[in-house]
Amino acid sequence: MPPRKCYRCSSRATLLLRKTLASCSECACKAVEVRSKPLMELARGAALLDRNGFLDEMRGRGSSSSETTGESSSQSQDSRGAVALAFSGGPSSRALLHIARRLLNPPPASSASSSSEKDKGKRKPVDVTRIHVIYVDDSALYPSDEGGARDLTEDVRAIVEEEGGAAAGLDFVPIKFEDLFQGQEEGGQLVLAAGLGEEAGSTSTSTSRIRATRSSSNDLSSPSPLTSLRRLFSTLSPHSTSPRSLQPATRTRLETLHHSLLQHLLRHTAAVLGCSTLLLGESATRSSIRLLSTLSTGGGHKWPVEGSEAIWVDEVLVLRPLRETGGKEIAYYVRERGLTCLEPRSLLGSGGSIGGLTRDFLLSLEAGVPSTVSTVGRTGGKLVLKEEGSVQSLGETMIPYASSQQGGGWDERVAGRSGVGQKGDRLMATVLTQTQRWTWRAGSANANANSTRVVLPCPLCGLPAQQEAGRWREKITMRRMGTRGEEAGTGKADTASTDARGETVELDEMLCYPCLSLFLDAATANKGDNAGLVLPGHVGRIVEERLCYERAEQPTMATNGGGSKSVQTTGEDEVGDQLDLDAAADGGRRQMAAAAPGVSANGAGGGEHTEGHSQGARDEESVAILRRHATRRLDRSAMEGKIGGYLLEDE
Amino acid sequence: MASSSKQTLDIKLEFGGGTELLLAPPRNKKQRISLPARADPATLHKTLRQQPVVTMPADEGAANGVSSSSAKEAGPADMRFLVQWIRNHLIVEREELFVNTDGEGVRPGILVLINDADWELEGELDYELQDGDEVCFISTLHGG
Repeated sequence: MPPRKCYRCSSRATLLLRKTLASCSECACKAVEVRSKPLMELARGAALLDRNGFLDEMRGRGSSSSETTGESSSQSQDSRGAVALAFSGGPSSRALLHIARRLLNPPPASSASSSSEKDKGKRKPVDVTRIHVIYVDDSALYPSDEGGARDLTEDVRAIVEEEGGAAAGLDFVPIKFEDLFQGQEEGGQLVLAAGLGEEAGSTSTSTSRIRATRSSSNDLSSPSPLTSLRRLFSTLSPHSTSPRSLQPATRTRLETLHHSLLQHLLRHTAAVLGCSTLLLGESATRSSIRLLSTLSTGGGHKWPVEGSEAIWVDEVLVLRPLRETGGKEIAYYVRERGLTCLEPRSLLGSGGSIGGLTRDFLLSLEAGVPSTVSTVGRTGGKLVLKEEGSVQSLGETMIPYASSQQGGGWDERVAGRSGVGQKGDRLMATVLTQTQRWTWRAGSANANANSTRVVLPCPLCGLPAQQEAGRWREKITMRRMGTRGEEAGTGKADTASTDARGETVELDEMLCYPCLSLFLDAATANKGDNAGLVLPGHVGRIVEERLCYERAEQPTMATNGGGSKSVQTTGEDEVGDQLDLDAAADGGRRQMAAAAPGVSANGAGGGEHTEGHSQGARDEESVAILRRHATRRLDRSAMEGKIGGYLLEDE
Repeated sequence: MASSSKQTLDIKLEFGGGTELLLAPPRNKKQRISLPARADPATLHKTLRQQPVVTMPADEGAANGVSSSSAKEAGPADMRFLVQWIRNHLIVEREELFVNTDGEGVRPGILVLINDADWELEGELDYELQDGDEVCFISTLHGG
């Protein structure tokens, strides 16, 4: 077989990509680095924004004086411009660490000039001040009898030192998975009020509520974080007497919960460290696998945020620089660069879980059709949040701040501010105008709040949650959500079951569909054992924020008759859902009428003419409701206000 | 034992990315084997799991009662033969995590390098092994 030549340098090729593109070793490695560079530039731009105070208001630092004058104390500058990198020790994150260190080139940690913009021409101007390498030790979740409980923190530290350590601007930050339960929230943590699958005082197994109450922060009998973590995961596992057929479902739940909590922990840690950016080493292969498995578990609604290669999740820019690189290329890159990785705990079989089966399926397809992974990834990249306007560019979400300053576009505002020349200014402007942001926090939304659709987060995973996933699930399953404290269609304002600390919180009304399914599906395997189960600390915090937000929106909802454009009300949702159900039901009735002429839906004689006439009347009514519903989404004054934010003031 | 260029091939194997976990303890990532130069199916008998890994003797074909005439009819040892040999002699558990469902190739997601080059450029399973070749199996399934 004649040797193939590299597509770039025509030397002997050593790696085949997608059956058609052959590359030599050096060009293959360079291609991985070059493909990561655009997103690394966004990380630099975010760091520059941070160092120049543009992100202060968003992050509650309130240093408007430093923004206007461009001056910052050396002490505050040291903590700015930091980037977080999630490191698991695997090949993808190892490759990411190597690439980030090379492309971002942070100064040494001990450098006295880290607070100055330029070191007398000896160093390049600094944008990223340091890289916090975050490693999450989850050894507590592995049974010790399987030999997987060894803490690998020191092994990871050695790898970071091998990459350069502090001398290369790398700051190793080890945390434990059980830190999710650390830091008692004000008012105590949330605990489940009753066993999953049980409604207090009810013996019915067909109803499910997930209620939680707040435990006292001074409660000495609270379990340790480690105990709470293990109990949470064991809750999702069936009893030993349960049939083996439940094991794949159990594994799916555990994988889903592990991933959701891990991602939240990483974002939270990055925010606590004051980092403007979180780098994740997810490859194209892994991203495509996760897209399909997320869709399979009902989490497709949050993919535009969860799977985006560059998006601000509240105050942290989450980047996936390896999103365009396949797993094969990464493995080759790691080997050719001689990078050390952690040994995996086990070589994973599918285990019957959705994630494992999806991985095997996709890799099998990729072997025969090499463009499978890229096609799945590109298609997933086209998904957007259902709620129009819920994701905006970073600059748009900061307009309330900008409007208080001088007029002009972002290009003018950042001109000359980066301190690293025009390229730095362009980077900042690019981040402000090109990166999207999803946030729900009051005070950081667009000044024209009425035109912004706010999607509230799920308390468990912290990502966008569908409105009333539980109610939607109730419509398509036999399981009922149980009694409620409200009349149907009156909106959240009348919901008596959600309330402040000390009283019961209806979690099932806030959780997104996959997180809700985690608990409800586990209820079939594990009943009655979960009362008093402590939930991670962030659950209570997000619940409190949601309740505060909803209380703040209640007057607006009351004034507008429950039709506020800024909040997707229960009334609008129920109308929309009812229309969908009516359309489906009408379709069914039409089919029945067509199949059995002469018999109407209500069983009366005189058949299809009568049925068709009443059918037509219902259709007209449905269309009228749809038109009114669609009209409410357009608001001219709100659109004018939004456009006005970009217009220069009349001289 | 020095390998004869006519009867055995000196092959260096390397396992990474988790594939080494399928091997018998001590799970050496790098191993040196003497592979029969002819892809004789009779040499693909499985070793007992209790026995330590041994180098294939040059005259194993005769020791197993295989006639010299059948050994001559077998083609040169290729990657297809090597994968089967590894499955039968080195893999002690979960062989389905290494070998493809059709029983011939490797499981999708395992990168195979022959002398630091992608085996897809060398003909994959049809590549005829040479004395001194280095074959590397790296699992890409773990991501991370």
